[in-house]
Amino acid sequence: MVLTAVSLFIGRYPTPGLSSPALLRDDSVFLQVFLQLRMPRVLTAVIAGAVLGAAGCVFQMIFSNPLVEPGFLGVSQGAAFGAALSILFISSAALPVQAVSAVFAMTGLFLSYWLARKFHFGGWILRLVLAGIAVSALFASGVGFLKYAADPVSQLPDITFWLLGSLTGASWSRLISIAPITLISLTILMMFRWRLNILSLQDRSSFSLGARPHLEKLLLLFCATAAAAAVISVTGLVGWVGLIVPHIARRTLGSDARNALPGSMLIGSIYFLVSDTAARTLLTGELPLGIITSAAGAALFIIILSRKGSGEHL
Amino acid sequence: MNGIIEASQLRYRYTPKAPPVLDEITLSVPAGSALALLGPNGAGKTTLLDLILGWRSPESGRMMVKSQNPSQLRRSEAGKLMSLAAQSESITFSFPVVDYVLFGRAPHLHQLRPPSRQDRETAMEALRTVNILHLADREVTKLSGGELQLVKIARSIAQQTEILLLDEPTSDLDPGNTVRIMEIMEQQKRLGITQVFTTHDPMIASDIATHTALIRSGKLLFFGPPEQALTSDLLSRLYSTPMSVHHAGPRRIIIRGYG
Repeated sequence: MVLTAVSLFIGRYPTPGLSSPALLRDDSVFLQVFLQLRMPRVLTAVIAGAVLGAAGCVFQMIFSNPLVEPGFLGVSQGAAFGAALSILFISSAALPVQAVSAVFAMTGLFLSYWLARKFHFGGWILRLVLAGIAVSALFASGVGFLKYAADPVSQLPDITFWLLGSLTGASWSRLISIAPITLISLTILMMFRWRLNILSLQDRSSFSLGARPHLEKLLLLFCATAAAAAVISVTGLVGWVGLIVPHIARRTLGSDARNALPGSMLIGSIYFLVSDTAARTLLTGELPLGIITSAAGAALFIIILSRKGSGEHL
Repeated sequence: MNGIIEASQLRYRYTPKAPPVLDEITLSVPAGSALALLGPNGAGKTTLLDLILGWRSPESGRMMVKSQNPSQLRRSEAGKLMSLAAQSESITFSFPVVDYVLFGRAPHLHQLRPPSRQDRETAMEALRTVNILHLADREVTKLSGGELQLVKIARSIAQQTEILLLDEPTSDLDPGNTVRIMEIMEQQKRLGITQVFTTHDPMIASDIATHTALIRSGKLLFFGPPEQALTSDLLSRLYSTPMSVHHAGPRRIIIRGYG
């Protein structure tokens, strides 16, 4: 909360650094910047961080694998493909890019799910993982081709910038466009927070504990992925948030999803907000957000894993 | 005869073209008894547990648990009726033991409701029953094999079911831990809990079981009381290796014929 308030007043206008709240009254341009640019942007960062953190936590528990993240099931690469497609053939304006990337993110999810049902190898979870890898690779090569075909002066920089993630396009209308699905999904995930523990066990065990692992996992995966897809369509590919945040949450709060899930949301928000505030204030130009989250994420990952007493289990 | 678990002419195969893993299995387990499933590796013992649990459904034949088809039971009902202590359960996340045992309360709770203080008390009681209260705060991923086995059984006990399914509860355990598990099984038997367990140690079957099923290549070689099942002849045929049964007072001593 404090951080949200403070970051509202950090920026490069009118002077680099922290501004005084009194300016809101005296400077009408600052008021505009505050209300129309910073406010939606900061709120988007809070929601995006919470969604990616929560979705990461849910993914890691459902797949019993601490190395998966929300973009895993073809969602991130699908969104990237959609964004590149829009930039090349429709428009590089914020809304069409968001719409097309959201459509392709969900296409990625359904394609992964459909393929997983077609595969004849391994258990259900393994099939989903393999299908996700295949679909992601397919879309990634599509993105590669679109980048190759893009106009290197006008279109390629847009694609690259989108692929690195940024909140420059954040606005009230875009925030409102993703608010319903993200808030509904987060609520559902939160309602299932103790149940997630049961679902993180092997399917046969959770079945013996009275769960319907396939059905319940599918519901939670769908919620997490839909919310993540909505966020990615606005922010672009902001790497590592969904991967690293649940680790930090579990390390500090324990594995029990009753704590780890809300913890992931909170830490995700903080992580996203701090990274975005850094992205828009460190340099005169806007730094792609993904660069910061990935660099900081990788550094944190190395620190966590090499710390003494980190144990053999994640 | 009307047992709590009734199987008649069960057949099961993993894929439609594969040979059956289980075939012509007919058995009846009275409530409160302890059924030992004996047989070589890959004979289909665990698959039979899965069929009782309802995790798998037979291709033909009928499986009835308390006169109901276990794979069509409401899941929460099934979870209150049967619990499973699986043989190998890889656990990815490091839950404290008490939280892990608390998972046993899941079928008693609405799926969106977290466990209450009372559920926690039940979990602690289960830890006390198994005599591992001192492990309560340890991480479940850092236990020894014997400790983990006891914790899995504690979770099943916290589940408060009428039927306890135990997949090789004593495999890989030292003699001390083996006896501890056997004592817990004996105690559950006295409480009237029905138990079905698989084992590679015929002596455990001899000491604990009230019923014995000898399964060889998916078929029932023999089903009946241990005193009829645990003979040198049947066990030698079961394991395709000479086995001899000796008597020492009330107990049987069963050894491999080697050399």
